[in-house]
Amino acid sequence: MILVSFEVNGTAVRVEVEPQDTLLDVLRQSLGLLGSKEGCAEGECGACTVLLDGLPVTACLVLAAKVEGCSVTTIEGVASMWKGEEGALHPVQEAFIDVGAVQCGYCIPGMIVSAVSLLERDPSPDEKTLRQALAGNFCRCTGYNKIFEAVRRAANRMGGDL
Amino acid sequence: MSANPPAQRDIVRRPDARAKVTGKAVYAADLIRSSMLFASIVESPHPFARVRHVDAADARAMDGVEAVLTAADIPGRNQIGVIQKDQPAIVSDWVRHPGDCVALVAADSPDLAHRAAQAVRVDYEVLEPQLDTLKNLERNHPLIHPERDQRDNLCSRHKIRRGDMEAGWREADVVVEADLETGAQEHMYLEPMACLVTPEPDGRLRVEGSMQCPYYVQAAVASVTGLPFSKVRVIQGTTGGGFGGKEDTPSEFFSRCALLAQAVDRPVKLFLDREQDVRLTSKRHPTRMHYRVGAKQDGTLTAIEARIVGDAGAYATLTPVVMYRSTVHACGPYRVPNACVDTFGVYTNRVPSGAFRGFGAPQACFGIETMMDRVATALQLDPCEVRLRNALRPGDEAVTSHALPSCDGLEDTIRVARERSGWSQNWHPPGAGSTGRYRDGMGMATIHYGNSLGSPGWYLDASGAHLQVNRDGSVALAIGHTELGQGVLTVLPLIVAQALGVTREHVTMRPVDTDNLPDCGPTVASRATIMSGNAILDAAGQLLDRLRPLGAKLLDGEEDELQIEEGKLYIRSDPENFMTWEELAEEAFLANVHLAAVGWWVAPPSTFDSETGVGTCYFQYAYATHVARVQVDTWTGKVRVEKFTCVHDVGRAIYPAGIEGQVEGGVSQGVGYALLEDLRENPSGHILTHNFSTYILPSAMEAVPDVETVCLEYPAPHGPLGVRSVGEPAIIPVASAVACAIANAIGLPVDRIPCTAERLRLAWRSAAGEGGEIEA
Amino acid sequence: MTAQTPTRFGYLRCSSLEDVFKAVADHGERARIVAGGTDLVVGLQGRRLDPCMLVDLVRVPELHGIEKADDCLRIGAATTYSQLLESDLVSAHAPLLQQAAVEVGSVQIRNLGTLGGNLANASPAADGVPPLVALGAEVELVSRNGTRRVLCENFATGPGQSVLEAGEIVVAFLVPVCHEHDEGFFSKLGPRDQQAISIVSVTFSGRRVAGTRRYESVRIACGSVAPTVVRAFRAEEALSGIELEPETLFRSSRAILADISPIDDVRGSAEYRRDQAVGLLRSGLEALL
Ligand SMILES: Cc1cc2nc3c(=O)[nH]c(=O)nc-3n(C[C@H](O)[C@H](O)[C@H](O)COP(=O)(O)OP(=O)(O)OC[C@H]3O[C@@H](n4cnc5c(N)ncnc54)[C@H](O)[C@@H]3O)c2cc1C
Ligand code: FES
Ligand code: FES
Repeated sequence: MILVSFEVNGTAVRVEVEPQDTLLDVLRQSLGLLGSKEGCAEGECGACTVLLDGLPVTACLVLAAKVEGCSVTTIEGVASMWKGEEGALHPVQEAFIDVGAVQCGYCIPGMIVSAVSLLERDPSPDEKTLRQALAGNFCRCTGYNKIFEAVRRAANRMGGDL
Repeated sequence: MSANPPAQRDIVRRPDARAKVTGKAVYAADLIRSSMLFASIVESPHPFARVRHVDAADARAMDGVEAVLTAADIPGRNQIGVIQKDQPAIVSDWVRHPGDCVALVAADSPDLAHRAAQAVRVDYEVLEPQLDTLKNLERNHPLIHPERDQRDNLCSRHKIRRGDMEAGWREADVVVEADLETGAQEHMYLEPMACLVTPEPDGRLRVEGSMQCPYYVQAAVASVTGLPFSKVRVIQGTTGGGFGGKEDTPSEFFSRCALLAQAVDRPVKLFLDREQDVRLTSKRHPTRMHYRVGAKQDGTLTAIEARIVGDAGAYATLTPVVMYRSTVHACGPYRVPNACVDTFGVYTNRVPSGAFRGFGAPQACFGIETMMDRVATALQLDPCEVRLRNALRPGDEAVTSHALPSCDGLEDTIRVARERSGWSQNWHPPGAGSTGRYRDGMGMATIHYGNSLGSPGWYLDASGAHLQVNRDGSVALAIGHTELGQGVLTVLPLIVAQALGVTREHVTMRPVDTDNLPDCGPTVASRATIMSGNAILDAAGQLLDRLRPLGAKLLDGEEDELQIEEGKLYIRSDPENFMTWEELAEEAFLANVHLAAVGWWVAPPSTFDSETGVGTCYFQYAYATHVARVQVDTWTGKVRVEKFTCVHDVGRAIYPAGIEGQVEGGVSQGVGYALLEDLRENPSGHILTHNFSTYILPSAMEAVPDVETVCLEYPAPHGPLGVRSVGEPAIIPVASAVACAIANAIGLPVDRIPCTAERLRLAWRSAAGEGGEIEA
Repeated sequence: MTAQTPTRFGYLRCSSLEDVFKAVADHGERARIVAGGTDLVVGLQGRRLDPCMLVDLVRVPELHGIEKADDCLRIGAATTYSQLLESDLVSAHAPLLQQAAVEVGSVQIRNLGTLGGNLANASPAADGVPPLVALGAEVELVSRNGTRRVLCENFATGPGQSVLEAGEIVVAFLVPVCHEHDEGFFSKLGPRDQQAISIVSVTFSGRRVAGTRRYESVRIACGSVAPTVVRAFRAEEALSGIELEPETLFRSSRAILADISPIDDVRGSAEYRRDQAVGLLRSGLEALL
């Protein structure tokens, strides 16, 4: 057992982990944060995407023992990254609902984390940047068209155009 | 007919979306119970073998292992086949595919369960795997199911005989012939198969999980556990995609998990990892086809001969109904005076093929649509014209010798697709477009799609709906069909709102639970909206029969004059003087009105003669035409799909954004099927492409940039409010349109999908010479 | 893996090279270095690996940083692809590395995976390695016994095998800075345009003789066509010092066939790989000219 201290969605946590536990295991099982999903456990599908010190990573590839002192943001913490009203969603989340970008939903938490991170880096991404930013998040339901539309809409809204 | 005003798009928000974007939606893997155990499957490493002996002693002795079950431990019937009883829950004698289940383990942790499963020692007599469908059809070939009375490996057989083939060939000015092939396709839903089975204090088993068909699961669990249906309660959890892959396959895995839960009397969870999910769950049937088509100079079809051999895999599962659909759709939505169609489902030592969105129709579509293009090429005609010339019109007999009900929209889908895609300006004869490295092409595919289960499934083609009006006016709806992402949670409350005259906000859906309603059949074949929708209309009618007299009385008017809409009721002559739905509900409650109703709807019967194929086949059809524009890089073989124009006769578009979502998703899956998704195996039939890095799904980079969805609205005879299916029609023409577009771009035939970059490049090179114009 | 599983191995987070050497010395063969973990954790998940001690060196300062010293860039082994992409020094002095970095995996993988891990993993499909080879970069290997430098092209000896000795760590890369007339390309054929393992990759680097279509000091490296990333000496010879004409590019590019020995695997056939090695080289050169 290794004791690891880090920050999740702004709150400091201390958990005991096994060396083989991944950050995804610990978020889901020890911390009860079930929003990050497991779709492959090999870093390929993106369903487990979280922000590690502000950068999107696949939590299934990060050994929990590595995150000592780091800050982690999961889908559960995305809304509070946006200075909206208490309880309000992040504009990216809103836009996903508005344009109908959500079908089965399993890819969506990871997709939203990737999209939010993209818009933090680049508030008005071009088509290629947008596609590249989401290429590590597979969606089997939507064909991505509505997801692109949602991210563009959120970008507009966040830029104050809407 | 009318196209949808895009303005409607923002109006409807999915009720499940908020939970999904916040990460709060609960999927099966998210269910946690105290004292929960984890299931693991002891898999056969061999595709075909005889089990001599299973020794579980070491596994049982491991600390933390609570149960190891073999076939001998099954209290009920060791049988989970939906249509044919050929599939055991746990193998007792023969293993018939890699990963076939030989024993089950429940342990404290997934890791321990996995290690214990590996500690179970099985002694096998290994047999030569039988993997070639055509060879397996031959006489005196080793039998995969020697226990059947049949002395062959045939799992299903269908045929159509129409007209006089000799006459058909005689009348033909041109005859084209081809051997075609379609690959297996993996569903690759993002959420792997998972469930939790909890023994309840009252002796019932509560089965929760990711699934399409709770009633199939209920039947399978009851069968293996020996419990009556009433003691098996199945509740659908939020389901992370199905596409047919969670139709009958959950029955297999959940019933195994139930056996463990029953044995240890503790909650047991089963979660397949991605690799297991790909190795152990069903695939789209790979097929080999032979087509021969005759046509007159003007493109009029005179005869079609089609032979489709589908790989059923080790067990029948849904093969008979999948191949039925291939049969009925083998000649497309065309007038074919003379036809001879033969389809065969053949057992092999592969994981069973099963349901996959389109259900046998995409394969048949690839066959017939490829041939339509080749007829056009042979006659130097525009393939769009050839389709229009032959498309079924109202009153025409389809190949099964019956007219399709209300097919007025079919021709229109072709015309509108031609117009919206710029076909007339941009289409060029095969290979006659741009020269040089990049070649542009256009391809078209037209389909009809029989809605719901059709003749072989009629016995389970009925569904119910339960509506309850609470005293505050809120309405609770229960149905037996599941939300898989396709949007029933969104559409059905809209139907309730329309039928009762309330707003969408009045309506809440209850989770799907076998306790709510009797068997409503499966959520497949794009039937949920039609079947549940009609049952809702029935239930709403019953409620209105009770509520309207009261409303009229309260408003002091005649019942005939009473209008209820958008949550208000009034007498038509005096709309200002209205009463709210809430007030009506309260009054009704105080008057002891029965405020709940169960609606029930039975699909109109359809027929199919097994010798001739004569029949109505399905009670109604949907129609669609897709046009693909592609660019082929002849140097690499990579194909970029640039635009898809998708014209669907949807009957009535209740939720246009949902239809667009279905179509865009269908296009993406179809493009994957056409170009990328190549399921590879080793010579003994073990799947090699069992993750996202080897089984290639389209990513955001490959998303088709421009997908235009056009809805035509020719009301269907039996759909609620005129609705026709769209979920499956969205994928069926896609791969064919892409394949036709590639052939058009490069002027070479595409005989096989997936047409991977490698296959395309090597074919191009051998046609174009050694450098294949890398030299250009 | 879950939080309830019993301990399979140990884990040490090291903050100095000395810590790493000690851990490796203590646990011998069953110690396993972990950097970004994108290769290693996949191996652990699939139980293809069962080490007894994971030695995490991501926090060792010597493995970080990108600096220019004389005519070399010194790039720490624990530099991630994302850091390479953000570095002005890399874009000014070794842009080829960025061309390759942007094609590795997805954003998520680029934020975790390191250049050192890519080399140490010794996969023939590694995308970070061919530019190192084409640029003539050296790698600095450090152990308790000292430091040695090896040309990146001589590092891997087979799939998953390298000259790395027990107790030796990849600490940094020394990449010669490019000259004003240096040109090049990294060209990858994968089954998708991102999140894809190379079926073939070809990297070219050469110094253009001003005002001509002639290159000198040509170095070509190929991925996924041999047991290791390989130099294409024959192709280099065929393309060096001659005036490159669009009409003859194909024929000259075919020289690469003598340099490669691809195999059939689940991602592609040997035949397609040969064909595409020629094609990538030819189309990359065409784009340069
Ligand atoms: C989804 C996915 C996609 C990928 N796509 C690509 C791709 O497109 N192209 C590509 O090239 N790779 C790809 N990879 C592979 C991988 O990401 C890269 O090889 C990466 O660079 C490995 O770096 P790492 O730091 O994560 O290595 P680790 O996993 O930490 O280590 C890899 C190996 O190197 C050893 N090692 C690491 N650092 C050192 C060191 N400093 N000294 C000595 N030994 C060391 C480790 O012991 C281990 O054996 C992909 C991986 C995944 C999961
Ligand atoms: S579960 Fe982490 S990427 Fe798929
Ligand atoms: S919404 Fe189902 S996978 Fe994306």
